[in-house]
Amino acid sequence: MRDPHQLKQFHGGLKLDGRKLESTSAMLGTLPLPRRLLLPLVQHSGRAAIPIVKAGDKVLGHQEIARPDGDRSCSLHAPTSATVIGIQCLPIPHPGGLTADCLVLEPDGREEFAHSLPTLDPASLDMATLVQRVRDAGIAGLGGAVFPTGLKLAGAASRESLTLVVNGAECEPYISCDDMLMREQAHEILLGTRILLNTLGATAAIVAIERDKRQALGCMQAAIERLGDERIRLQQIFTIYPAGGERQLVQVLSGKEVPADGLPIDIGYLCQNVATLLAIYHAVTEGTPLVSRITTVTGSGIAKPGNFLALLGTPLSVLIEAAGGYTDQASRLIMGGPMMGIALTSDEVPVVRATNCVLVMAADEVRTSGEQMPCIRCGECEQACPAQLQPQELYWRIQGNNLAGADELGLGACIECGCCDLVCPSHIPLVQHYRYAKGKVRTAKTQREQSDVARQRFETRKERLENEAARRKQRLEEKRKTRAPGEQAPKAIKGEIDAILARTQSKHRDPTQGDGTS
Amino acid sequence: MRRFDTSGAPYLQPGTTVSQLMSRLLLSLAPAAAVYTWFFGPGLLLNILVASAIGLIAEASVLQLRKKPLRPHLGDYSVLVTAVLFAWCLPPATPWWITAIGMVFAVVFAKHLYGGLGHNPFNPAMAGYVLVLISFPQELTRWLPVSGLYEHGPDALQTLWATLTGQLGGGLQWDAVTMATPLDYMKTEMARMTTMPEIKSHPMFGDFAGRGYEWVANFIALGGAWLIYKHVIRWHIPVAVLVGVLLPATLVYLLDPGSNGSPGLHLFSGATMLGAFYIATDPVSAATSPRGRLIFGFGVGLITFVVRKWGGYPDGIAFGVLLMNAAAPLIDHFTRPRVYGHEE
Repeated sequence: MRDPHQLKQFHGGLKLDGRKLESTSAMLGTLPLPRRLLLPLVQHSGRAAIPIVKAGDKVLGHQEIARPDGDRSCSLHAPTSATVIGIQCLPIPHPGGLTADCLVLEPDGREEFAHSLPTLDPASLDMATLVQRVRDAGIAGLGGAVFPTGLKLAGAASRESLTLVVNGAECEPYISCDDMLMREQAHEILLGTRILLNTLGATAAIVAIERDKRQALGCMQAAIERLGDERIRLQQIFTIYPAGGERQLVQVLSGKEVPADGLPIDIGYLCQNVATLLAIYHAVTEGTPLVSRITTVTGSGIAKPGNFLALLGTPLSVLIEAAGGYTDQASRLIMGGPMMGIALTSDEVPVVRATNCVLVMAADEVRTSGEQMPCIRCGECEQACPAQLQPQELYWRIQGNNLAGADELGLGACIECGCCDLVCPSHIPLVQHYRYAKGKVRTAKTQREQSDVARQRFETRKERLENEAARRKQRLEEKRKTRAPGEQAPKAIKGEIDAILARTQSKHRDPTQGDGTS
Repeated sequence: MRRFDTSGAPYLQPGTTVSQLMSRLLLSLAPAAAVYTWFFGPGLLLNILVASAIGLIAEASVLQLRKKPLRPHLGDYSVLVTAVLFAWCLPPATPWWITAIGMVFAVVFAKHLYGGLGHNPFNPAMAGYVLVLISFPQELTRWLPVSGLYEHGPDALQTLWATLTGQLGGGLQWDAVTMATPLDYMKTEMARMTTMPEIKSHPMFGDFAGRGYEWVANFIALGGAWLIYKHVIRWHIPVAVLVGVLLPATLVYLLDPGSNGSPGLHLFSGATMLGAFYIATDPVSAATSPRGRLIFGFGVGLITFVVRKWGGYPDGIAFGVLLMNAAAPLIDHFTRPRVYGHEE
């Protein structure tokens, strides 16, 4: 286990009160089979999956029920044997409280499973097979970003020197699902790590865990010793939020920064969350698709906080009931952590791949809006910003509606971690301003691209028409030249033209006559 | 079905408030104010009282005019900070109307005409101070001697009377009770070609700077250190100001110790400490990036020294701060830190 003092630190960040003990003191809980499972077709970053079942179909557990639409998409599987109720537009965990198409299943309670994916031998796995299997198993990054893992692995395929980062840094307060997973299934996580190491030909794997996760560190260390793979090593890191962010973690481990418009893979690092690695392990060795995840249910608004193994599609209300229900203080329902989570209006939304935590906070713990003071340029936000931005200057530019100017200052590098918000003495909701501005900048870029395409299309068309006109003119000219001067058009043709003219004239005079369609 | 309120992330409460920062700043000046009063009588406290009262009235009136809510803006204590810093620059027993004129200018013109808290390009306290310094040169140089130096200094009642009426009363004449500050004395004597050792033999000088003044400066520095410890201010500006004063002061002192004040004298006299820890650190009118703040602070220190050595005024913190305030946007433009993942 290496000492974190030798590591380079990322800029800024915050030491936050972890508040993880509440949820880690209980054993991993299980849930009763829910009455309904609600599976949104988009629960990854990318395009919606295409359903391949219809209402009334009986499906077995692990059976594919929606297939991916292209690379940036993820397939869906039935978490258990069930009857398909249909596709309904239901509320999903989204900051805007949106509804989206969900496959609704009614579990039959028989818990029968299909074995549609054959098991693979990890020892003789090639890259293409691995990527295909990860895609078939519907795996997306379970750390929260839910980027399709198959695509991420494919991007790492042709790298020569590659270091795998096993991300066990769970930096947001309250969340402890990865901590629990490392305590309970350290060996399987490492087996998943080894599959990637072998198949990708990576030189090393660094298991990065914050130093205050004593138990997880112990379990992973023991598992590493047991596995005896010299390529895998454990690295303690400091507990500073947001150390678990890919860009920050890579900076801590390598001392290098990920290029602004690049990915960690561009500097030879591939990050995988521990839960994702476990999912890969199961998908390869057992042929099991991703149908469940561990979710932390915690906060002072929850009676008995803990971690639960939840089938994807389980309504949050089922989780909250299993955690003893709400306390009197419950006031804010959040999916994710208190720094980057999504506030939900109701618990009638399902657990999705990204649901690492369900946090219920009390009213007096939540920041209140409306007590905003002017920015006094104190610069604390700049000291806290892990992206080394100048949040105050971005804020002024956004306030002045100078979005292009904000973009120029590196708005795109903002990871929306919320550190600036927390240190601002004027209580300005900075991240909200950045989210707004990012959206606007994105829209402006898309519009510019679209108008570029339209203009190009118009210009190409104009050019084509002009060319055609020129060619026609040229042809006419050539014809005229080939014809002897003073020569008349052939008589036969002239007669025909006269006949047509006479016909149309008579039609105009008497509209009732004709072919009946006029 | 239970409905919950929503809002944007993050949901945790911010750690500090503007009023907390400002009140800590005020609190940290209390020991130095006590020391000042011990050495120079209650003049400072009277100045603070007048400046605060006028400041609050001016602030409230402008807020009313601008149709802004009174409570949050009066409650941010920023006007009190301006009042205290402004009052601190004035000689004890300054007539109240001078304090009032400076304070009204600071609050109405330097602060609110530019948009109020957070928008003023110049430090309001310094703008007010420079206005009265130029307008009332005589009154603004009537410094009182440190207690115990002379027997005939004004007592508390006489100071109050002087603050209220501008007259000393009791048959005292200003010339008889006032005295130059160490920096002022040094400047005048230097012009008369008196050598530094001779100047320093005057009883107004203590161990390394003006008697009394050096202790006030010590306590201001202590208060400033506490502010840094409490993260109310960052270290960059104070350190840079001190270096900006010390570096040239040491240089000329080494070249010619006979006709230059010692570095210690520069550091512990006049407003060096107050300027470094309390005035130049006003975030609104200073540069914002760490690198920018180092440049900003160094500039303040350097200008201060230049004014002291070659300028027409004995001290130069106010000019240094105002000139660097004007340069702050430019400094910010050229010292923008490199963003993560971007090339330099």
